[in-house]
Amino acid sequence: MGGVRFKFTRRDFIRFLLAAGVAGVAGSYVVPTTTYLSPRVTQAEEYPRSLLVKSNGEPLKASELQVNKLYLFPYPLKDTMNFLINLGDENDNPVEIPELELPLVMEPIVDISYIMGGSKEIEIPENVQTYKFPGGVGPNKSIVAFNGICQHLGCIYPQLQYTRPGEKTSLPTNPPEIGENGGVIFCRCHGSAYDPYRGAAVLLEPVLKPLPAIVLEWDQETDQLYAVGVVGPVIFGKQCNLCGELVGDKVTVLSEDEYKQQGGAI
Amino acid sequence: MGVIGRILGWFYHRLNLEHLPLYRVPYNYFNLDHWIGAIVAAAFMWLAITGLLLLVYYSPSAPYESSLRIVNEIPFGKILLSSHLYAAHLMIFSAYIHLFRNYFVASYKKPRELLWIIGILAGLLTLNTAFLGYALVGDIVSADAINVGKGVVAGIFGPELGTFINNLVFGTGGEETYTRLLAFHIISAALLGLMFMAHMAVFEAHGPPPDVKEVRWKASINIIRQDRKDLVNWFPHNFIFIIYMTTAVWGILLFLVSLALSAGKLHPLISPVPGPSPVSPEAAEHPPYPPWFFLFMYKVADFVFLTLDKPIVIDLLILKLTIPESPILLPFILSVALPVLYLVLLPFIDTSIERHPLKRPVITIIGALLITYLIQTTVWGALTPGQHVSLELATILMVPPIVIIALGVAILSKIHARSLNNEISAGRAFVSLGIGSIMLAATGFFITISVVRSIFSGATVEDLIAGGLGFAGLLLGMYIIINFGSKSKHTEGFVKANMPESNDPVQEKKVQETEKVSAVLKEARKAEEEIPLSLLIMGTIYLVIILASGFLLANIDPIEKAVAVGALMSSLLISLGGIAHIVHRTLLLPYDPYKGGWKEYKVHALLYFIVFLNYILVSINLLA
Ligand code: FES
Repeated sequence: MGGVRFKFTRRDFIRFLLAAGVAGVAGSYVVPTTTYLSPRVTQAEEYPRSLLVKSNGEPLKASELQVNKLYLFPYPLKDTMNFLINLGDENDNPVEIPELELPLVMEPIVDISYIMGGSKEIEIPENVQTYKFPGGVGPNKSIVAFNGICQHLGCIYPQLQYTRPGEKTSLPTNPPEIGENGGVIFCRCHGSAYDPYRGAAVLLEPVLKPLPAIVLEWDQETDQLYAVGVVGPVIFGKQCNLCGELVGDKVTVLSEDEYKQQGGAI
Repeated sequence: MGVIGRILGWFYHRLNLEHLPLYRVPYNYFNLDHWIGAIVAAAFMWLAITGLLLLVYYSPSAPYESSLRIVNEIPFGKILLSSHLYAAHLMIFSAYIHLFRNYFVASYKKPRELLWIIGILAGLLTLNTAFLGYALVGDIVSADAINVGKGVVAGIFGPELGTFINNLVFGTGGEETYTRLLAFHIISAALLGLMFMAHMAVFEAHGPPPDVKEVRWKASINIIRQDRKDLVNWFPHNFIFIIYMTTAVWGILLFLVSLALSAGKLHPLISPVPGPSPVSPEAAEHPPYPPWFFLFMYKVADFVFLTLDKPIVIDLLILKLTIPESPILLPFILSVALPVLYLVLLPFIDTSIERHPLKRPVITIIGALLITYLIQTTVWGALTPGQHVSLELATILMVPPIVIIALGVAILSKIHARSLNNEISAGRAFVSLGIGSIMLAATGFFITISVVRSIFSGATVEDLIAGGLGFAGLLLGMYIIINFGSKSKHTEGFVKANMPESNDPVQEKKVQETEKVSAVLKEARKAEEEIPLSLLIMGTIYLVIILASGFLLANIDPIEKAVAVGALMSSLLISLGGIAHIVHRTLLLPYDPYKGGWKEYKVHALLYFIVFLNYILVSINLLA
């Protein structure tokens, strides 16, 4: 009886043909099926330059924005809602928001050690790309805008909310003031928090990326505001910031109350 | 066999593939005659797959725009939508062939009455699904379909019930209409899927009817006994053959689609892409057609003498029925309701043990007339859409077929009856049967033409109808010659294998036979080792085609070169079908040693030829 005898019979060859044929045809059909199924992303080249207008259609004046109140507007896509806040201190005096260099991926500024007096500085880890947060605009350089889709797993307003300085978030540990001067953007879904005063940098885990910042332009003469771009990480859930249906050259800004009345639809 | 063999073996045993509770059939049943139903099933599967894929892009809020977008902007969308349409055509067409094949060889006889009835109902559901499907496109045909559909429903069910059904199916207009049509299209298709499963389940209750030649055209032994010696296991034999049938049918379907797409603008009845929008100027030039499979009913609706212009009151003492006036009720009853009722009741009408068409002359005559009228009214509707037909014209065109077919079948069955009384002259009788049926067809052709000519001199349309009629007769004649003229091959063996063994002398014979069979099997095992080289070479060529087509498919622009894409996708499936057929053939070697010759190669000749045509399409499309 002896060793292994390998014999490739004609029947084996037929078997091979069948297997190879099935694999070849199935393989060849994978590409057509996936190409057919994958949605056609229309990708624009440039960010639109959109004038912010009120719900009555008139241009929004920067000086009309109430301090420490949340406003919402879509940009750069019709389905990407953003937060617009005129940041202020506890007494509703506008605060100037500085320019800042932020990492695309970061450790939370506040960890458990903070409660016991830990570090509060933004650390830029090595080998991580950074971007420039442009800082506040408007007469007091206090107006900022961030994308309103949580970078952790995509929760949106009202799960993701702005809490003014001094007010309490629903965070169980709830440090009295975890953000710096400008309150906190807090996500109720899994407890992530961002610091609006420092470019929506990550304050609390589990999120790892800051909120993308909407680049605003303030026209000193007319007091009008324009949204002109997005910096920071890619908007959560989007292949790219410009992949989808773009907003037009005017976008409507709604106050929190108006937004709730409209059932979130614009 | 190593690891792969052991893994496959594991599945083989865990799934108990060797002893599947499915009917086993003799090895020589793997031919088109017994497998027409598989064409219907393959087309249905293609419809289900492509239909689900189309759902991704179809939008009831913009039916026409989304249809055009699928065709023009989505990669592979053109092939998908066109092949969905053509698969529907193929399914309906092959369902008719399946129906009439089983009609003429009396497959509906005991114990398969239920199988037959489910089949008829599934056919109706197929037409229903098809209607709801083409109404979805949003082009002029679809807009007409929705309006005409509503009219037909109202005309059949009366104003009250009709309105209810119309609102139910079509909604009250706008987006709601298309949303509902989409929902009901899918519901109807899903029900059809259930019907299909019921059809298969009932089929498995008694298996396929034995080949007519084996049982000498009798329905007395109407089951394939599972202790016959020439049976093959369902797995892998039927399984592989199903793969062969399915891929070959899909491949041919895709070839036809590519061919149609490469032909440019086609007649609206066979055009594979959506027609003009109902609000476009081209819509006015579009003939007011339904798809071809509803043309028959469309023409009968032109029979103005069937219009009920006043309500009919039927007084049955206690029950008072009012049939409202309707232009469509009688045409519907005559062209759909009565034929369907007849077909459903057929198993209970024709209960004799005869399966030969010429031994059931009345049934055969009715069947031939059904085919004739189906073809006649379809061609008629295509040629003169919407033109009124008077009672005289209808009589002139529709009575001659009755006379010709009735006379012809009567004469043929006389000849047939005599031929069986005298076995020796059977061959000659079949020759005369052939000649007789050709003459029958030819006579039909000329009589009809001359009758029509003399009445409407120069009326080309009617000439064509007459031609179609003659052609139908010719087809019938050919069918009779081919199917009923040839002599039985397997009769002796089958009758022996299926007769219950009762006497001892027979028992002895059986022992001898078993010995013979085991000798045959030994021979066969040897044959298995001798797979002919030609099969290996052909299989390798198929594999090369698959690799080449797959490579090309991945590298050409699917939107610009839709024809090439379709032709390559077709070549892939055709080649897989070819390989599956080779596997099937080698599996049969123990029963049927390879002889080579034209018959053995004709399947592959056909498949290679289609691949060749596909590559012509590919090169034309790529070079253009
Ligand atoms: S989604 Fe916001 S914290 Fe998880």
